[in-house]
Amino acid sequence: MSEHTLPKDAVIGGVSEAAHAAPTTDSEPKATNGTKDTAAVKTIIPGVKLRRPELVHGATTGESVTLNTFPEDRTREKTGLEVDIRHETVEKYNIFLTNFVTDHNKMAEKPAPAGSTAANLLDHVMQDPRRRSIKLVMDQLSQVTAGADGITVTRTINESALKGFLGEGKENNWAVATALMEQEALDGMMAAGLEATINEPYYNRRSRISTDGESSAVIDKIPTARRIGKTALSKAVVGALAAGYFAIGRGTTEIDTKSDIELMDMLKRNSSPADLAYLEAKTGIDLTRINIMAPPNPGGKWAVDFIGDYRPVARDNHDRIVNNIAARKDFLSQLGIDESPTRRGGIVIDRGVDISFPEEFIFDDNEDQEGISVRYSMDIMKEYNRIAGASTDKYVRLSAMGQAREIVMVRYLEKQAAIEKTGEHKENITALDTKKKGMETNADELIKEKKNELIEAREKAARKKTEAEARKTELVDPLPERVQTVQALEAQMLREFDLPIGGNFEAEVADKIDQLRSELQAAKGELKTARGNKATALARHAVGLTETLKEHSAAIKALAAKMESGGKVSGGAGGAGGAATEKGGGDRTTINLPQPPNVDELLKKLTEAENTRHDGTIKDAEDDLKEIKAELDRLEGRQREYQQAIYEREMATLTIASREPGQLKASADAFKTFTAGRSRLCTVSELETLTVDKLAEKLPAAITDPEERVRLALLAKSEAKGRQESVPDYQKDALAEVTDPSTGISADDLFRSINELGAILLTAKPTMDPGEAREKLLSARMAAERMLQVRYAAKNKAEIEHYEKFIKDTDKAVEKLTDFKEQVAELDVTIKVMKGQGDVFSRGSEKVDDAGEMEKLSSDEKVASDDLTYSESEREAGLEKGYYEWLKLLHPDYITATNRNEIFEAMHRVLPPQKLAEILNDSLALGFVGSFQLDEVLNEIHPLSRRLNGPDLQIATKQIINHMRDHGLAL
Amino acid sequence: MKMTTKDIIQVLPFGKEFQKELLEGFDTLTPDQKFNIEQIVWDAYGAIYRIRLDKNTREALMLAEDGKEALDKKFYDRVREKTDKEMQTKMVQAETTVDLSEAREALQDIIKGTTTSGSN
Repeated sequence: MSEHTLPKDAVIGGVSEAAHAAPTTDSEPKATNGTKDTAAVKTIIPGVKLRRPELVHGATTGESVTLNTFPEDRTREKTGLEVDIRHETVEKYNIFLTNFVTDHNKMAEKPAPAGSTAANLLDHVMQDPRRRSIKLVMDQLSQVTAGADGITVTRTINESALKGFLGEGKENNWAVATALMEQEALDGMMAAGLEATINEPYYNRRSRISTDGESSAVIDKIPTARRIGKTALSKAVVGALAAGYFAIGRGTTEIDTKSDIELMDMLKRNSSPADLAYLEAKTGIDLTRINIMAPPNPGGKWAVDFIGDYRPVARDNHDRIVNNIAARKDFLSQLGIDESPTRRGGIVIDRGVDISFPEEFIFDDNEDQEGISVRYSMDIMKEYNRIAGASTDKYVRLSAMGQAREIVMVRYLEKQAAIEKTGEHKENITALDTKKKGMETNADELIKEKKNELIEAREKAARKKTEAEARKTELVDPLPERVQTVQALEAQMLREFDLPIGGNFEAEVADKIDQLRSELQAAKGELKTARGNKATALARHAVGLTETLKEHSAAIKALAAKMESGGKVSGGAGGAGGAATEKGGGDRTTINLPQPPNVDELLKKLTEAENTRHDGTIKDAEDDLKEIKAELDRLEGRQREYQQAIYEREMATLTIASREPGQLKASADAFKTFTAGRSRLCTVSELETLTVDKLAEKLPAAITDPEERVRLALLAKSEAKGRQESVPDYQKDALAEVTDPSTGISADDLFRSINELGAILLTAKPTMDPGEAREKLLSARMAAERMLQVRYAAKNKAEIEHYEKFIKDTDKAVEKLTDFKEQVAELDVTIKVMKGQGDVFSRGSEKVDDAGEMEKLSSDEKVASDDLTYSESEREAGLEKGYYEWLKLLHPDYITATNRNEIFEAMHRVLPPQKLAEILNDSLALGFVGSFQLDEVLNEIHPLSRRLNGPDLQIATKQIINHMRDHGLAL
Repeated sequence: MKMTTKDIIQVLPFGKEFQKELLEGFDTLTPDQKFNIEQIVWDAYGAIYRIRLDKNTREALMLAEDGKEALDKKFYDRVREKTDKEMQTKMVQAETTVDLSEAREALQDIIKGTTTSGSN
């Protein structure tokens, strides 16, 4: 499989590929680091203008709806007829097309499958009506040149045709290319799944890639039991059978390739030889060379065996998936198609590969989702093959697919219904009824119990509040001080040790220490030299004196000899040069003996002289040494102090990270990896080692973990459900990934910052200057750390406030709990609605077709205080008219009841307007995030905004009823 | 179109025996059983509706590509209407079928000289 990639010096969107490596969020290219590349001139190459209505499903030109591909209901911008597609995206698509055409050209060299009338495999593929898109592309972009012999032909890509293929007015070509990309991604995913099957028959393989496609992570193996399995049903069957899914979360794209031997067997048995040949040509997986052996006994193990050599293809396919998804996402994003998560707490099943299917609710409550979804897809395949038979008619096949899905779904549901009917089933209504009767007949005892429960809950909340306050004292409050300590030490060290401002402080300190150590060595050397010089001089004098004494001794010996020959010796002050003679009276000669020198005195004088000469130098050297040593000791002391301060600050931050809700755990892990070692010894070399090698391996997995986030979100929800209470606000904020209003920092910001960290490492690994990498790392890390600290402080504050409010409310509730009138009324209305559920659904099915009724249901007009069609309590509440209509839909009798006010108040407590807004938003996937009000939601379901169908309304009412049930069970 | 739970049970492609048993016993189910089965049945109906809507949209787009369907402002409305109509037809057909089966059962009862206790 050939792979065309961008040349290293390629210009994308006007900037070099290296510059492009840093993700940009808008069409303006950004410099990667603000230092080295800023000087480079970046000419922005214009992209292509496309007409949006030609591409976006349901978008209107003002006159008509055009044939299109992408769904309007996921778009964030519904206006604007034209969009600018960046040159960079055009290039990515061109690369895809080049690879695509080249790969398909090679198929012309392969023979057509047996029984085909086509000349070769490519022609055969292009004759297949299911592959019209391939024909369209190949017809335009593949050129055939006849060889000199007039028989052989060469197929190449038509470069000039390629240039115009994605030009202005070629919206259809964009849609076709995108569809082919999706199909290629599916093929690649399927191939990876098949390969996984060959190696490990019952595992899932997961791969995460960043959404910009610049980096890819390893493919992990995970046990099937952990996976939420979704199978590519419709498209998989209509086209090729694929197993797995794409999940696009924030910052990552996750690819799961399902490994299932039975699915592989089914694919092998149900595919035509042509399909298998095409599969092999496309993916490198030749199923005809794989033996699949069924288990000898039911429930036994299947086995696979590969005939002949086997060349792994997962890497190629993985890269193909990554590139295709990245390019496609780029394009969709510029079209304004929003893939932000709404339905599944952080993960959106990508529409482009058509994985989401209406019957998926079947798996919702089942622990073995993986197993069920695989069996489910197999059953559909069987049913589909039975219905479609050998027909190649596209309409017949489409219809067969729909029928197969209906039949299989109902078959599964029949089993569930049978269990409900004859086996164990949940008895919620009975439980509510029992509770209500207990409240009515045994009130005193229950009040006592309930009060105890409340008091217990209050005490628990008080303990939690104390813990939160302790965290405030331990972590939040000291943090600024810890930060200040670090800053103060930095300032002090800059001042004391004359360090350069604006550099890498820790590296500068280390350099300064090295410098002082060198100076210390030099000073020691100087001292040694000075002392040596002095010693040498003194030794020289000692030698001189010895010589003098020797001379003197020789002179004495000479004189003594002379005396023996008649001389007279007298003492004299002869010099060291020898004796002197003088004439005395008469003829007698007096010989003066030389006087011995006073060595001690001489030595003393000489020593004094040398002291005078050397001691100054020695003292200077000693002083220098002392001074440098003191400076070094002081700096090293300060450094230790500084490292300790940094360590404490980081430990505080890490503790904070570990106490944040689970979604920040990944960040904390990343921080831990990063700071391990660094916090103890911040040498430059260690940091660089961490930067380039260790972190690059560990960070991609640690920085983002959508599954973990979703798992935690679901866990929090189910816990709340179990307790029958709302998720605390502070926790909800964190889990919903909404911007924290108190800080303005969203989890996204934080993750982006951490992602930058990972991206820097990944992109920096081969080429980046270690110093530059270090700077960027530090900066990204510090930014993320600050965000974490601020967020934690805000959350801690909110947490304390939450418990304060809870305690206050509980105190009030205990005081107020003198009877169960309110609770009984709430249970009463809930039981009534639950028992009448079928009628509620039935009324909804009628209303949905009546525009007037739907208008009422979505009315955001507030009830006037003098509108006597409403009861006193209803007028007092003064809510949107639509709200009352929803209550009427649930419980139409209440407006004629004698205790209308009481019922309304009970329903209002059970289903407050905000709760209704949340349920409608969630069940109808309206897409509101953060804070929103009922009137906004009602506007969104107005017949002019959105046409709801019966099933939409049924899902919404079902969720409302289930909420009421849960509320009742929690009383 | 106004529907009831039993209407839907009639149109769902359950096994005939189970379908009959469910319809006959529906009114004698406990409130909890009824509550749970209602949710299953209505969810299934919703899923079938969406499967059909999906199929009809794809079909209409294929027809449009073949030049047999207009891509005007009413395009999606027509797809939706077609789906609604299909679902309604399904309901009507089912009612007819059930009517016949009920008639047949009533006949059998008469022949056997017994009466059925549950009613729909």
